[in-house]
Amino acid sequence: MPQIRHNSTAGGAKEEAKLIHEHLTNQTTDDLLDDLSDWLANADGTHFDSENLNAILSALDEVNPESEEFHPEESLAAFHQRFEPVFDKEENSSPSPALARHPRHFSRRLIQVAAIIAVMLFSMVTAQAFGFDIFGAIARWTSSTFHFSDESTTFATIGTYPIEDGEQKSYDSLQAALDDFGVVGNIAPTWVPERFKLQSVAADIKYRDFCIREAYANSDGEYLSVMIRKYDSGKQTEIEKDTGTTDIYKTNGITHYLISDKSFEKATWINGQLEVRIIGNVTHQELEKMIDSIYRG
Amino acid sequence: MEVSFQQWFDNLYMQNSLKMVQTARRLLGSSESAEDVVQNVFIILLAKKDQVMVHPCPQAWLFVTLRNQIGNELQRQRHRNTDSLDDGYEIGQEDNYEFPFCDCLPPGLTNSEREILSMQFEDGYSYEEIARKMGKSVLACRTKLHRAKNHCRELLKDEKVEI
Repeated sequence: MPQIRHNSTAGGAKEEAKLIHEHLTNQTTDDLLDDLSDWLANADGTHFDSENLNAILSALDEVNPESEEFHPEESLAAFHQRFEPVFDKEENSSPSPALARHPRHFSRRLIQVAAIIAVMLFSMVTAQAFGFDIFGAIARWTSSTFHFSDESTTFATIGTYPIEDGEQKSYDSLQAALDDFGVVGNIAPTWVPERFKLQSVAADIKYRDFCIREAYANSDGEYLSVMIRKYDSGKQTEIEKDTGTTDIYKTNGITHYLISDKSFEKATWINGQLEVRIIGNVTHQELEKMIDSIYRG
Repeated sequence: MEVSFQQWFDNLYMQNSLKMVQTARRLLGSSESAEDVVQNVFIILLAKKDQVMVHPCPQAWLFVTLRNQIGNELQRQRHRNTDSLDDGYEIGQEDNYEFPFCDCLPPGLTNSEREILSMQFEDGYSYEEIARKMGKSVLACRTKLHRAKNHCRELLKDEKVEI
């Protein structure tokens, strides 16, 4: 009787595929979309789990077929046409011999290519950037091309965490809170409209993210707050706004975004390690005056 | 045999763009948006080609970048659509509103749609908090909320609601 040899690797992979298929069978479109979102959310950039992705997409096609088609060849041709200068520049420079003989020429070529791509991408995303993912896509990948602050304003930094994760602490003033966190840099407005009275200043830390909130109110039911928190360039920063335009107020080398959101006016910006937001029943002019007070020293 | 940049790029594009578009289309609900975000990914690749060409897994890089672009697009659509969903609502603001939000939601929404809309607009939870409470990824919550709002918008079209 011939000996049956079991290939454990192949058997394991087949077993896993079977489990995936069983999991995906009889799922609703909603559940499969959640699976797809989870797959993408867990993508870590080190390996590509094509089997799981293909299984989810196939299962989705079974329960909710799509009618639209995508033709990679046509799309690639259109892409080449759009970015022809970039591909031409790449093809006109042969790699290693040119690199060995003319390093300066290679560097100039890189700068030219980077400039072309930067201009194309910037013009494409400009309409999207302001008021939406303000500090997201552009900040993340064009930080080497564009600058958000210059050396005229101190780069704001956090010195210490005086309270533990999950704790909260109250202060008499925003500056007292910033001093307790060892914050260096021009961050706190020193002027607010006279009609507002200070209600509270509190700081809390959650999952190593700290947030200081200074709240004002008045007898007319108006509200004003200044919020300062640690800026994480890896996360998307979002802020609600209405369909109005976003104004930019640039002063002291910092770009401040002024936004309207129904009855509230908002200002937001980044200085160093900190993100600042002012939200309240104020005017744009009052926001600018508050911002100016930060840098008066 | 040394492969030119264009050959390398074209291979990567041909091997991955279809799956990328299919993924993005499912999550964004729009072919146009899906193709736009996929194009964005390859534009970013052009800018970072020196890094990606030596990356241990360029395919993985593509899909991580796709994830970021999808997140951006969901945000962009969310802000663009704030007005049509509001229709006089005071929702969508960050601070201090108190009204029975659930009472204003139209009939026809599923329980999970009502739940996630309430978590964001009534309870004011961030995506991270919603993800933690629902036991899902942040991206899953974003796409779920995106679908819930689209459904809500459709149902509200013919409805007049007073606050």
